[in-house]
Amino acid sequence: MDKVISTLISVGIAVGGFLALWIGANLIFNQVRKDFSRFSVIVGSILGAAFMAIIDGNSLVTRATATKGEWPLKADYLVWPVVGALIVGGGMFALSKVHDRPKRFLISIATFVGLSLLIAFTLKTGWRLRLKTVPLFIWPIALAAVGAATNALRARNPLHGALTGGFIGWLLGTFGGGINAQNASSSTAITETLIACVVAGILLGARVGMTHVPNLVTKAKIDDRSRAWIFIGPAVAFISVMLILPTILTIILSVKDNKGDQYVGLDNYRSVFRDDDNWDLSSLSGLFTSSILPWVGFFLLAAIGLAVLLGRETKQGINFGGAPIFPLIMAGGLFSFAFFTHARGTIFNNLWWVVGVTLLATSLGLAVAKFADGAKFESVAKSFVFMPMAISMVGASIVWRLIMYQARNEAKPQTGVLNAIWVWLGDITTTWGLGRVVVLAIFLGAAAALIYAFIRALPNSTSTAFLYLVLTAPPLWIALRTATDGIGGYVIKNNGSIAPGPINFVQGPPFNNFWLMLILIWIQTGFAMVILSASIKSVPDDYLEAASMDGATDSQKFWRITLPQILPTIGVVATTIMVNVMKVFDIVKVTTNGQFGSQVLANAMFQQAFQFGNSGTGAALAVMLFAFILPIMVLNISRLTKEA
Amino acid sequence: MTIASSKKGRAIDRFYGALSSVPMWIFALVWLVPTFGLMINSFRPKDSQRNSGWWTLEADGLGERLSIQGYRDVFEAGTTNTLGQSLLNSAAIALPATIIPIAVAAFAAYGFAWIDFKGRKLLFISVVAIMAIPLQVALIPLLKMYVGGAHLTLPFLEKTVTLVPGWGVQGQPISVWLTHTGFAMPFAIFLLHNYIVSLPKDIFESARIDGADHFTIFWRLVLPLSIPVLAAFAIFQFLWTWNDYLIANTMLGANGFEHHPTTIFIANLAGDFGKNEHLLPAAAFVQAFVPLCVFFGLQRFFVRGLLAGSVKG
Repeated sequence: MDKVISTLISVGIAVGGFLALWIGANLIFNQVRKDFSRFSVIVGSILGAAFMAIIDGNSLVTRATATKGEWPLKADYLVWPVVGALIVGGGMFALSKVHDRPKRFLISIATFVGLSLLIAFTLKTGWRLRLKTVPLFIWPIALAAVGAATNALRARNPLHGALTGGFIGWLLGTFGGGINAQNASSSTAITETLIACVVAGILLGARVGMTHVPNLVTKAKIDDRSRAWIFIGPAVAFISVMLILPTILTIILSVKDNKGDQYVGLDNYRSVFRDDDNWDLSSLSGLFTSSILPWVGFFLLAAIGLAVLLGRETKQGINFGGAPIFPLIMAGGLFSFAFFTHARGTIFNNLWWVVGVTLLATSLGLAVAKFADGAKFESVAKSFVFMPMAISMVGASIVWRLIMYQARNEAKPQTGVLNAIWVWLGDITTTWGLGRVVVLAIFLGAAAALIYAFIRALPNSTSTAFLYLVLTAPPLWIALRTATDGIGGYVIKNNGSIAPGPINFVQGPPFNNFWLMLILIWIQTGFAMVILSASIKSVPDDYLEAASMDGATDSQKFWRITLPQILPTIGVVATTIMVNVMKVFDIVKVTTNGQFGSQVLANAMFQQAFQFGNSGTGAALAVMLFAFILPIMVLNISRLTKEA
Repeated sequence: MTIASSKKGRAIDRFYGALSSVPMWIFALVWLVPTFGLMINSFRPKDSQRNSGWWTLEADGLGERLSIQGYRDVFEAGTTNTLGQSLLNSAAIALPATIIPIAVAAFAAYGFAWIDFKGRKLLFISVVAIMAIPLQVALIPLLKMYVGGAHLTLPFLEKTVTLVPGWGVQGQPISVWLTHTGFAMPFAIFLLHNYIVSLPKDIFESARIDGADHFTIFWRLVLPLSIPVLAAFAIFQFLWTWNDYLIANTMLGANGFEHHPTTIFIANLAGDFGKNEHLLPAAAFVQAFVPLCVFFGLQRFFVRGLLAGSVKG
């Protein structure tokens, strides 16, 4: 409890201090419009005090009293800031009152020359100057020219720029030129220091004296500009220090060796791409003997056939926009599944995650949003699906590992839900009994229902009808397997006996990748559902009513009206999920820590950078992750800025 | 059409209406299985958990074998830290990491929305574009920065410029707050800006005519009017920081044991080679309790936040 209290106190001090500074700055700049003289005094005093505090703090000037003590306890530490505040604050006050130009000029020069004389006479002997001719002339002239040219280009008074440039140049030429160390107490050193200070004072005074007392418009401008930085400044500071600067440093680190010392060019990237753990296509040929491939071919052929049918119906030659979409998506999904089980390595795993999670989470979210729309207790059911969003990914990984994916020795009862079901299925479908008959009946029934739908739809739309016919293939195939070999988790031993065959969901490559994805799908489906549900509800009722008038069925209304209307939102959901999936870390870290062929970029980066101490390799992996995300984010952000 | 037939028609409609919500309910219940199973298992003793599935409740003799022993044990488990301590740590991380970004982002959002200055649009677009930077890209230098600051060695001149001084906050919660604040900033500014910029222009003009300055307008007008969007962002950020594992593990994982939040605690518990596996359900439930309360209590705001800016990077 003590720690919480002390934490709260430190948060309070930090937030309170920040707020006090912020409000103080606001109150000061409120005076710009209300009372410009007061504003001038306050800002002049603060600037004068700060300047003198810096000079005094770096021991450039001697103190009135030479006692030693800790800042800010001793009063003599306050002497110089107070003097600075009085001189500059007083000068600024006078300037804010006087409109006459020659008088302003005199006041300004007097203020700054006074300050510079004070500094010149109290400057510690070690800081006295030895003027050198060349820098003394080159710096002021060069910078004055630059200042004048800049102001001329910005259509401002070139003299202002010349004076500012000349002032900075003079400081560089004198104080930057060299300290007179040998003859510090000689009269030349004293004179030259005096000249340096007084000329600086004259230049600055002349520049400040050339300003006007601001009129109402100028005051408003000063207020708005400074206020903009008060409001935006803190955020910009955080973004610069926490985001922009580290990103640049990471890119620099990625072209240095693993200790961060030596420049090594693109070696880190080369080694990442050469490493078999990251990029391995050696077993890709297995793709052609994959048992999934026939199904890909089947759905592809079905899609082409349906496209021809639909083309005839709509008289458009070959038309893929409608019924053929389903088999096409099935073929694509199955092919990517087959591809990623044979293309191994971190990079391919990451891509698999992106394809799998984005596709499944978006389409499941869309399905629930559609099913839930207008149903009874819609919000309750939706909050069940949405709830995993509130659970941490660490927690979700543990839940799934323990409750769903637990795999035990085949002789023992399974404690994980999925293995229990899987082994039970294997048990009941390998021997003839009631269980096998029921399973058979379920899949045959599903096929029969689809055939019935085919017959019903045939008079209306041949393409839709044949889609139903195509879809009878998977349940028929499963029914065939059930009748012959049986389905589910079983293994046939050497002696011909049948034993339970649980799946090692978490540790069995390459499919463990898919099972880990399922955890993220479990989380992200709720997100997709919420956004898509809101989008479905925002489709104007007029459209749907008009379609009903024309005799459209519910499914026609969904595919022809709702879906095209919400297509942009589906794009948003998919890209957002994609970015989240690309960065997946927690799930892999907690379940496998990247072992068993389940490594992903973010975890590889974490291990390299923070566990193995290879900052170069880690940075290269991080930059690669950035490069993968960038195109999607550019898409997202261009959409957002268009909306805004 | 008679009254009877229309009544019958309504009954059929109702039947089909109920039938059409069946897929949704099946889906919702399937989605609930992992959480439900976890809840049941958190009340089952070690042996039951290890030897039988949570659905075999009757085998345990229901009433007598269910107990809260797991919850009692989990508060005493842990090698470097206790669950109670890590809950406090999570709060000590999540609360400041929610409050600080809200303050800073609200100022900036107002500045971008209602203060006229040169380059406003360009700066705003740049801030939004920074959402593209993934967390991972900044982590390595951030950790180094918290230890020793950021320095740049200028080429040719061989001079080192200190960009950020070393704060020496490694292994302290403040390093986590600062990181969360920085990373929340672009999204927070974007979300709040979109809301604040849509406030009616008239109120600003009339306030201006009455002599109100930017500070007064922000404090008296904009903040009270923006409560809904501030709440939405607060919930978003709280859930994100409470559930965060990557930032906390990077900043505190190796050298901040006494500051470990709950996510690291349960991840470590899960990594103990199955020794404490029977305590995980209870621990995971305790960890999820706070976000679930926030979630169910304030779901409306949360959904609004999601809808307003579904782009958190």
